[in-house]
Amino acid sequence: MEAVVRKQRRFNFRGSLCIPYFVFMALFVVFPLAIIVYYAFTDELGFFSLANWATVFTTRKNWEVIGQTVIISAISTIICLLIAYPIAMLLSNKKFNKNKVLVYIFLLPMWINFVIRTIGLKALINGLTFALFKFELTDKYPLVAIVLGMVYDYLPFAILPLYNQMLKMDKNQIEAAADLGANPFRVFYKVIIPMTVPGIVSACMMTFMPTMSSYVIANKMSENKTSIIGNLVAYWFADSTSDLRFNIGSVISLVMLMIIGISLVLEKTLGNKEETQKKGGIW
Amino acid sequence: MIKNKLTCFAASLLALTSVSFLAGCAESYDVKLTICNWEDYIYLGGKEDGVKVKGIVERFQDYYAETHDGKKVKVNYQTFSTNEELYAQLKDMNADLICPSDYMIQKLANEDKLIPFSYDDANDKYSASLKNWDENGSPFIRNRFKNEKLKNGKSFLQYAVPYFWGTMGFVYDSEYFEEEDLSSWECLWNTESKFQSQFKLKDSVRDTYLTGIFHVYKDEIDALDKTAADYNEKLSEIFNRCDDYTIDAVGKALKETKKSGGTVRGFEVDEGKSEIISSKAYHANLAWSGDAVYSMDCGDEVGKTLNYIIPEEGSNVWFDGWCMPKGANQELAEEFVNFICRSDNAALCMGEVGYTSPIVGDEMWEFVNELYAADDEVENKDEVDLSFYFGKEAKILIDHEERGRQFDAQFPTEEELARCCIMKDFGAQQTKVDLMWQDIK
Repeated sequence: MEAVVRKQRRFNFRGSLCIPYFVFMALFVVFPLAIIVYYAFTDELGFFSLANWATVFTTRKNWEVIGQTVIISAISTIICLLIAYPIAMLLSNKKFNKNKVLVYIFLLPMWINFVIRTIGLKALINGLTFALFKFELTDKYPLVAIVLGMVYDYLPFAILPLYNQMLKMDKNQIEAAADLGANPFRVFYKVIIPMTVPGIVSACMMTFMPTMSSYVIANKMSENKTSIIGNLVAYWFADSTSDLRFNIGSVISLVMLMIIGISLVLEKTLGNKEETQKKGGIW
Repeated sequence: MIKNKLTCFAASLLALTSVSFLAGCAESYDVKLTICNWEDYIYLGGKEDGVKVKGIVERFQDYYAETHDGKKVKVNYQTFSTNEELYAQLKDMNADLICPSDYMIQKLANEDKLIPFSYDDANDKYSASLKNWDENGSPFIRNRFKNEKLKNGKSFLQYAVPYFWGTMGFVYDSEYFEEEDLSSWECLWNTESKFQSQFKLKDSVRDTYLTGIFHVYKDEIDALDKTAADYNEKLSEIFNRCDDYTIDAVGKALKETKKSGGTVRGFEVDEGKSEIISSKAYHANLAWSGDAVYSMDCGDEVGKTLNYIIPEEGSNVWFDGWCMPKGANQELAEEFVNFICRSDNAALCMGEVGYTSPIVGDEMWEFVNELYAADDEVENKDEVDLSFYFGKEAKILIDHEERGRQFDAQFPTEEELARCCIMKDFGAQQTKVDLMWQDIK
């Protein structure tokens, strides 16, 4: 009898280990989200209202900022990928990177606070462009500067998943393809890329999502004169004294959440498709 | 059994830590005063010739013990960095004293979140508990803010005792710009290449908005009679316009400065005061007078001469004041305000902070003389009359080379102050102003 009770108790105890996790999720994820939704659909007096949505969507600037943000994030992601891919290939090459020292060198910048790195980058490129062309990049081409800042800050996040994926790559398949007469370009295109798709997808997610909300980088690299969605949210919550500040801010955060959600789904389906293609290719 | 032991151990550990934690908190004191002030906005003590000098907070604790038969007051000193942050956290802070700016005081008072001081409107006098302000407050500042009415018809001074005040203008590199270049706000809309990308404005809609107002209503402002008694009143009305048309026009005007080839290269609120010292690419920054003093002081150290100018159309005169939020310990809060209004304490704070204190007692006059009066060797001296501000015969000789610099930033002339206006809360138009501001950025 006692044994049974004990067993049951132990079972419960294990289950109860999850409680802190659920409490945490409820308190810090579900509850805040519920508050945001509440604010988004009420007016300053707490009555149901869609006026905030109307305000947000009828303001042309918001559309411009959303478009600008998506473009900046997309370009930064693509550039990150183009730079990170060859670097990851080199790093995963055992001959080239014997003690993994090189990997650490590429990840080292992540140990430094990104705001400090961004300020440093800004000083560097402004100094360079001023010495060469008599203008400062952040002043004259703020959008270029923002993309530069994003790429600089999020490059390690693109390298790491690609590098991990390439370590897992089956080298025999590459050799086999070459043996069977595929030229290097064909090997790369038909064998290496399909095998690293999961890495590419997670590298994209790791750069695209944070670049959408990294408004501090946008602030520093454009001297506060160009906004991305993150700026809009931050402005309404932190700087505004309007009675509607939480309401409008919440709507914009929900819009941002939706865009990130859509991009997640897109990347997931894209990744899956490639994977099934790859499987078909192997068989 | 093992389990039990473990539980016991864990429980005792928990008990121990909480006991020691409580013991740490239970520092003995009789009363507690929570102050929430701007960052770097008070004299917090320091070292002079290796000897520790007490800050205002410690001095107040000593003073309180002396005047209250050894009773101990604990001062919980906190800081905030923007008015908006203070506004958002007011409820959670349980502060007895806060130090917001004029427009925020207005907003808080209008929303009935402040306790009034015992202030006699008719005689412009606080009660005996604030006698240091009554004795030492600058007559100019008192007049200015006494006449500033809130929604409920009461005076500003009813809810706030001024702590620091200042103006807004341009800090500029005197080697690049001439004084005439920046003597009007129109310089922001100047299309000459000399002005291109040369300015940084404030990343705060309240402050940058005014530059647009002076541009949009330039003709109307120029047509005002500057000698008329109600000049400032009329200018203030224009200065505080925020109807739909004005917001739209100001937004358009500001957008123009920012587009490519325009004069404005960016916005900032904190890094600008140090950037302007070393900047090679741009040479003027919209600045609050105290920040301007900081920039000029630092510039002097590295051999760069920066100047300060208030454009001729006018500008903003602002003040930060001590207020008591609802629930404050009124008696204790007033005691602290009275203490910091003592002339010697005010001089200490002013030396540290760089903004201008509205306190003008003898110690303050000595301090100003020590800081700014020209040496005997200086040949070209200007006599400046500050009697209007100090409320007594107050003439000081200033080195002509130093005009338009620290001294003038801290003590604008009477005529300059006549064209500086006090900002009012945007009220119900705030959302529209915010949308306009987002459109610019």
